[in-house]
Amino acid sequence: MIIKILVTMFVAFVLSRVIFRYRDGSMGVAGFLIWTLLWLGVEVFLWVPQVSDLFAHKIGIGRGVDALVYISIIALFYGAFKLYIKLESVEHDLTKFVRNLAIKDREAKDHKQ
Amino acid sequence: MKLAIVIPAFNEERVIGSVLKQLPRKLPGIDSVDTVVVNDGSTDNTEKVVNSFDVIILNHIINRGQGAALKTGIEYVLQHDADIIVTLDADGQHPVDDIEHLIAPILAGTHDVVLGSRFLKDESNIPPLRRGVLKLGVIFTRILSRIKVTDTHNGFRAFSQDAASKIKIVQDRMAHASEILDEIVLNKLRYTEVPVTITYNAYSRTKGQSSFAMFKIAMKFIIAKITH
Repeated sequence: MIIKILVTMFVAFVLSRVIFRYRDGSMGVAGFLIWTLLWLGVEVFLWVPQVSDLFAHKIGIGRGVDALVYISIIALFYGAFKLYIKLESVEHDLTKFVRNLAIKDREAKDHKQ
Repeated sequence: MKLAIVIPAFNEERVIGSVLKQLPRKLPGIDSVDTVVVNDGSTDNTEKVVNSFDVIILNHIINRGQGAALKTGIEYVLQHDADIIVTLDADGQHPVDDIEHLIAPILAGTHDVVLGSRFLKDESNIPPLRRGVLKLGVIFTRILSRIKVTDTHNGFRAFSQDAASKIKIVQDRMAHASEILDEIVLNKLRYTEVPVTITYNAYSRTKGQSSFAMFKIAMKFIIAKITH
């Protein structure tokens, strides 16, 4: 029971962060809905674990906990992949910035001479 | 004909001076030679050494990798109407005397890109592990990029203006070498290889890519091919 209360407190904290980020405009509607549903889903599985068994049977996995672990691993891999793509994009933007600065700086010197 | 030599440099204070000193001022069929060093966020005295020569220096404020530095240099010289662009490493591995042979096919109008190859000459100076890894790179490139070359990671290259403007380098780090080969195929550019001798010494071995790093580069290139 203690673990359930601790997890619920954590979920409440995360949800509050999600709401704050949505309100200050740093998170879009899609992000807000996905994160809210995800964390509310965690709460449902936590307090009504039978739901996970029902869900697991539907997709052909024996135990609900196993299904949750499998899905979590897939979600984590997907998250890591998305982060990798995002990081690459930021790296490219940074390079563009550094390149433009180098060329502009050179051209400014060329004009002075 | 205007020739531009682009040299990406990262912490090369010890050798870049001797490379710049050896660069040709005049070449047959060439009216002017401009040298552009892209100082890729060096933390040593590379900038100071380069500034003591009559060359153009472009400073990356932070290190962005060899591919990024090459692209910066190429973009700059294209803006300044270079007809032929030669790229070479700053660590003294590439013999500058070979520049004449490297640009000859472009001057003759028979090719758009000329790639230096260490495997068309005597290979005995190439360390065995490096030779093995590079040969694997050749097979890897043949499968992925469908280009038949004997040396895939040789930074000693020459491009015509048209070829340099068509080749898009996206990879900031070392995977740009495979990317250039890919672009040659995609843009249907006429390419050839010329034999060059690579000098392996204690310095170049510490500066060059480790054989293990080559595998990391290959992985990066595969991921880039999937994600782009």
